[in-house]
Amino acid sequence: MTNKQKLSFGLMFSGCIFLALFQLIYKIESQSDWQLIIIQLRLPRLIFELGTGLAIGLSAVLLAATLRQPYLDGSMIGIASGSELTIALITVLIPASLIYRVLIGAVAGILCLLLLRSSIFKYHNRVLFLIIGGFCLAMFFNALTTILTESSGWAGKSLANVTWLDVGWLALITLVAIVFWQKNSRYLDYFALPELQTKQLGIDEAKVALSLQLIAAGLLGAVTAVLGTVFFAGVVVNQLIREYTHLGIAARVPFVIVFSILDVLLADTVAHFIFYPTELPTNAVLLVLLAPAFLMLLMRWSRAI
Amino acid sequence: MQFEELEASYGSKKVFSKITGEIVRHNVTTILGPNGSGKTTLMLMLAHLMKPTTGKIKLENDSLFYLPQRSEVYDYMTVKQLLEITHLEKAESDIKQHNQIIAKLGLTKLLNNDINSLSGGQQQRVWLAYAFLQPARILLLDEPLTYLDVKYQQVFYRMLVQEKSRGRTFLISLHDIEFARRCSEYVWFLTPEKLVTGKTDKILILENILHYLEIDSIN
Repeated sequence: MTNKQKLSFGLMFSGCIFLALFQLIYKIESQSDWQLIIIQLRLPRLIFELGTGLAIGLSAVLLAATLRQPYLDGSMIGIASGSELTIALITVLIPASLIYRVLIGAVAGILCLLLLRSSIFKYHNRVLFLIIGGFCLAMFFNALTTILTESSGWAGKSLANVTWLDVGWLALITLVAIVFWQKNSRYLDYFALPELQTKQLGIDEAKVALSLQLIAAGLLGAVTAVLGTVFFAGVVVNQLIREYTHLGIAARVPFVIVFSILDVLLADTVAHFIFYPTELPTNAVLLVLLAPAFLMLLMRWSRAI
Repeated sequence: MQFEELEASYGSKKVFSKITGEIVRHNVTTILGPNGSGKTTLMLMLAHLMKPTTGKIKLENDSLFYLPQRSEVYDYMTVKQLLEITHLEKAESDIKQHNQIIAKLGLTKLLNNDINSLSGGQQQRVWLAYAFLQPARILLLDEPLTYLDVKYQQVFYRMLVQEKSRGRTFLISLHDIEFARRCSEYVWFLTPEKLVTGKTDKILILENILHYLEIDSIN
């Protein structure tokens, strides 16, 4: 790791610590029951934000790598929207089950992944088909969610109502993801090579890709159940770090995760504190914060072309 | 390495049918044929990367490596990182040879460069180094001269001769008849109906070139 990369990592990490501490201890004058607020509201919300950053960043790296399409993430191929639609359905049909929304979201994310693997992913080497097909599916799920929640008063898309149960389920899902990660992460860099070469190296690519995609879909589905879909966030974070650090897939993962956590912490700080007592939707704030970075990337790509 | 009655088709379209042949050990065999005659398909089958519709391939204990016409890298990867994959379990003496191959192909100064930032010719040299550094005894190289300038075509020729003397076997596909004449002991002409094989001096004659490569005249 170069000094520039170490410095960047250190700055991002320090930013995360600063924002985490700020969220935890910054006192808004009108608030009473300070201890209760920290333990029951701010702490679970903060931990969930960390998990959300991890999920958005890691899922983007894993899906882009295993599909060999750097400009894709789980929001663009329908995994996040599928999870969001499932939560909307649960809200309308069996609202009592919503206490398990993180688990339901993870399962929905995985089911969407399996649906994609049996259809669009079969043509993964046709970039346009993958992107347009995935995006159509995402938009379809999005439209259904809008129709379902039109008059239900369902707010969703905020980290304001995160509970300790949500945090517990996310921790459990993350633990399962870590087990899968430890078994498969050593193969991650090989996805930079063409499929013909990984076959000749004796790597069971189909099995490894499935495991890594399950991690991505499970984590992304779980956090989307609470946060809602954040279009393009994963792509922007992954590509920005790639352009800036010039690191390979595996070496980039810690950078992407820390940067993604920093973005989520910043977005939620803005969402919660800037217009208090009005709570802004965190996913929308995150998207707005990342928009300049997305434009910058577009300009860099256009120059490269 | 022998193969019998190999047949290949993509859907209802037959590429070639019932071809039989043998790759002679410690020699260079060049496969010639017009575009779409199935050279790549045959190589993929011999490398066990594609299943033949019918037919048998007998590979004894030799290991085999196939380098396609064009290879893409899908993420940031330096030349060094790619080439390191090939010597994960190599001895010290192999590492020395490893460095020689890198130097011959003019890659020493490019080791820390991202492969995608290199020119077509430089990328081809990287992939040729990747192929030569493989532990496999049989190398199948699909159009290895693609993007190479005259200097590196000559370097490639010398490396081919040297590696052959070290006991390696090559099957390469080419469109350059003169290069094929210089480097190979055996030549194959592949057509949809048959594989015509023989020693280079006997088979690489004007009549066969005109007939099997579907050209009117050499002038």
